[in-house]
Amino acid sequence: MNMRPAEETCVDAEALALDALDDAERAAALAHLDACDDCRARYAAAREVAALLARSVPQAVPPPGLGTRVLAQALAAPAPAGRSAPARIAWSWLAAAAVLVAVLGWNVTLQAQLRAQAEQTEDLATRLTTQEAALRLLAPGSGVARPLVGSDVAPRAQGALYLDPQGTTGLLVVRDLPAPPPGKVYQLWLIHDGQRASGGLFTVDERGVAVLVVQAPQPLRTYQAVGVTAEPPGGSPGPTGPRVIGGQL
Amino acid sequence: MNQARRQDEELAARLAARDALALTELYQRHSRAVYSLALRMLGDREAADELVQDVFLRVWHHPERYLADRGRFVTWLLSVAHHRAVDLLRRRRVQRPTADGDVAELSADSVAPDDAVADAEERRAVRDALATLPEGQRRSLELAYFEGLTQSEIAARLGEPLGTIKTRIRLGMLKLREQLRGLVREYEAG
Ligand SMILES: [Zn+2]
Repeated sequence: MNMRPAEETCVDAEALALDALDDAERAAALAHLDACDDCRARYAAAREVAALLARSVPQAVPPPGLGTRVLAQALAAPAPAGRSAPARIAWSWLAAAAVLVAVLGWNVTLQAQLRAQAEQTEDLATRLTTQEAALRLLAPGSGVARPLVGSDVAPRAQGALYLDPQGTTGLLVVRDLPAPPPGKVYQLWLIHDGQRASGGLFTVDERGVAVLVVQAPQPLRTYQAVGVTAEPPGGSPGPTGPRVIGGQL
Repeated sequence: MNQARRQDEELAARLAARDALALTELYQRHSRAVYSLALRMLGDREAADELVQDVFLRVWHHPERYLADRGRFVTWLLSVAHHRAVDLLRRRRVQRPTADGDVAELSADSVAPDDAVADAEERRAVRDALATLPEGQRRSLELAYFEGLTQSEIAARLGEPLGTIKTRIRLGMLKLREQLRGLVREYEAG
């Protein structure tokens, strides 16, 4: 039976909504809410007032690349225990790239179809969402996706670079890339008239997946191609190893 | 239920299916509110940046923690952000007890130029309502909400009995709610 405690034993619902309780008081208050309809209603109302306080502060614009970093971390982070699906997320990117590539005439259409059959439960719209997410954050309306393909060194590797041609921020996503040799990291190169500028360092997780927010020194339309090589930790001024994956911009 | 709220709830439901586009849309709808609150509380951009990332990643990894029947998504999101900012402020006070409350002033360039008129009016209404509270109530609410002090810490800071602070906070919140009835009801109704 849900006997409501007397008023004295009820909690500071307003203080709870303001986060003005210490940890022990907060834990006790939250436990009480489960048993007391009255306090739960007061807490819900106080939370709406707290949200108004939150929204009353001077408004500031988040820095431009922040959304891309959030997305990159969301895609790169393994799902917490008990949840499925990090691989499926990585796959969405590649499927999206493969679709684009098929349109561009790169001959992985068959491969894409085989994979698509293996993932029948996932419709095309779902698979395209990750690409759309990246492009929307980078450059609503003007973002583009460029497919990347593994070299002889990493023939199974696939990837995409999502970029705003006018901007300097891009998002690199690769899959099925072998780990770099011991003591090395991967370095992305942005290639302009044979000159190579570093686009950042990364490594891959156990799935062969990497997600990198690319910060280019020049607007990305400056570059004609990208490539990835294994380099010493900290990177090199120029590539010293063979290309493992790359593509045209 | 209004359209913005329904859209938020649909987007939140899509997070459970690992839909990155839903995360992006929620980010685009609410990152400014989260960032602005974090900047106001923490006083520096780098910390506000980190908090925004932290909050949206929590949302991504634990969308099930939002219970649509307990209120609006944005209310929940801001409460997650606020709680996290309070944690950071309390940790800072332990590490640097002398730096108590020295939140930097925002520079003019951080203010959003394309602030929606309706939002600006809502902000003015909330500030006006705060300004009508007795000084002790307003000060206690602000120390609690924006500086992350507990009721006991506020009592110590102001040299008042704890019971007085508790009363001020409860009455202040009830008065705010009464004065902002229109806004709160709009949200409760959806
Ligand atoms: Zn109660």
